Amino acid sequence: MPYDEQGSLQIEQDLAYQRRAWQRQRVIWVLLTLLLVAAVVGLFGPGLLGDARAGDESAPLWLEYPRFAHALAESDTLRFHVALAAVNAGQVRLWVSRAFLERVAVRRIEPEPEAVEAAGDRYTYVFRAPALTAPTDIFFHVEPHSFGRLKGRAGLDGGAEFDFNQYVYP
Amino acid sequence: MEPVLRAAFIFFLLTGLFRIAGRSSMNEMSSFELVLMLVVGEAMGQAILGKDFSLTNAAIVATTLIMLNVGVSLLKHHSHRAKLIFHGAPLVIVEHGRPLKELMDKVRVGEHEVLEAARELQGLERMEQIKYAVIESSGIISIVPRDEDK
Repeated sequence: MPYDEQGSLQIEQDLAYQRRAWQRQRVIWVLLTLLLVAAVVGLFGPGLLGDARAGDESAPLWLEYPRFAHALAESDTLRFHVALAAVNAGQVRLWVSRAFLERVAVRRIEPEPEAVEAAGDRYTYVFRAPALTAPTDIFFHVEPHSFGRLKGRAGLDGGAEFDFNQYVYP
Repeated sequence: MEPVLRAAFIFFLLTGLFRIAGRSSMNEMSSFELVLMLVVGEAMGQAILGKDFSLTNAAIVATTLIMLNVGVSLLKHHSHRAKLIFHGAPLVIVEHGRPLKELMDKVRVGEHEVLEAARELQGLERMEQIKYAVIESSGIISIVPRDEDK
C-alpha cells in the first residue's frame, strides 16, 4: 500500500490521482446537470419534448400521449380526443392495436367502455354516446410491462387511423 | 434475475452519485444528511422492489446489496486502484498552520470548518496550532496538533 510522506505525516495521499479525479468530477457534474435539464424539458417523461400527438386534429379522432413513459409506472395516459363525427348509431367504436395492448396493462379507462371486442390485430372499445353534443375525451391509463420501444396504432371503426410511438424507460 | 439487477444498478448508481458529489458534501450536510438519506432511501426502495413486496423479493434484494458491499470491500482490500475509486484517499489541507487554499477550494472546505474540527477534536484555538489537518475519505476532518500543543 503506497504511503506518501508529507513532512512527518505518513499518509496514503495520491495527489496526482486526486487532481485527475477532480477534473472527471467536474465533467460529470456538467453531464448530470444536463441530465436534469433534459428531465425538466421532458426527455424522460411529460414535458415540452415529451408531449406528442398522433392523427389529424381536425379528424373525428386524434391522440395526445407522452412520447416517453416509464416501465411499471401508471404514468402513461393516452388521451383520445373524440369529435361529434366519431359517434355512429349512438356509439363511439375506438380500436387500439393488439401489439400495443399486449405490452401494457390497462389500469383504467375513463369513461368505462360498454363492451370490448377482440379481433385479430386489435381490440375495439365500444363507448355509449347517445346524447353527445360536444367533443369529448377518452383516457386510457396504462402501465408498460417493460422498457423499450412501444409502437401502437389506433382509430375508429371504419374511420381514420394513425400510428403512435413511445419509448419506455426502465 | 430482475431483483438482482435492480439492486445492483441502484447500489452502483448511489455509490457513483455520492462519490461524484464529493466528500465535503457528505460531511457538511450533517443536518440535511438525515433528510437526504431518508428521501433517497424511500425513492430507491420502491425502485428496487418494484411491485413485488414479497418476503422472497425483499430477501433477494437485501442479499444482493450485502454481497455487493462485501465484494466491493474485498476488491478495495486487494486493489489500490479500486480503493481509490470506491473509497477515495485522504488529503492534507493544512500544513504547519498554513491552509492549502487551492486544495481546500477543490474539496470545498473552508477554514472555519477546519477550525471547528480543531476545537471539537483537540481543543485548539488557532490555525497556527495545527500541524496537519487532513480531510479523510469519509469527509471527516482530522487534526494533528503541533507537538507543543499536544
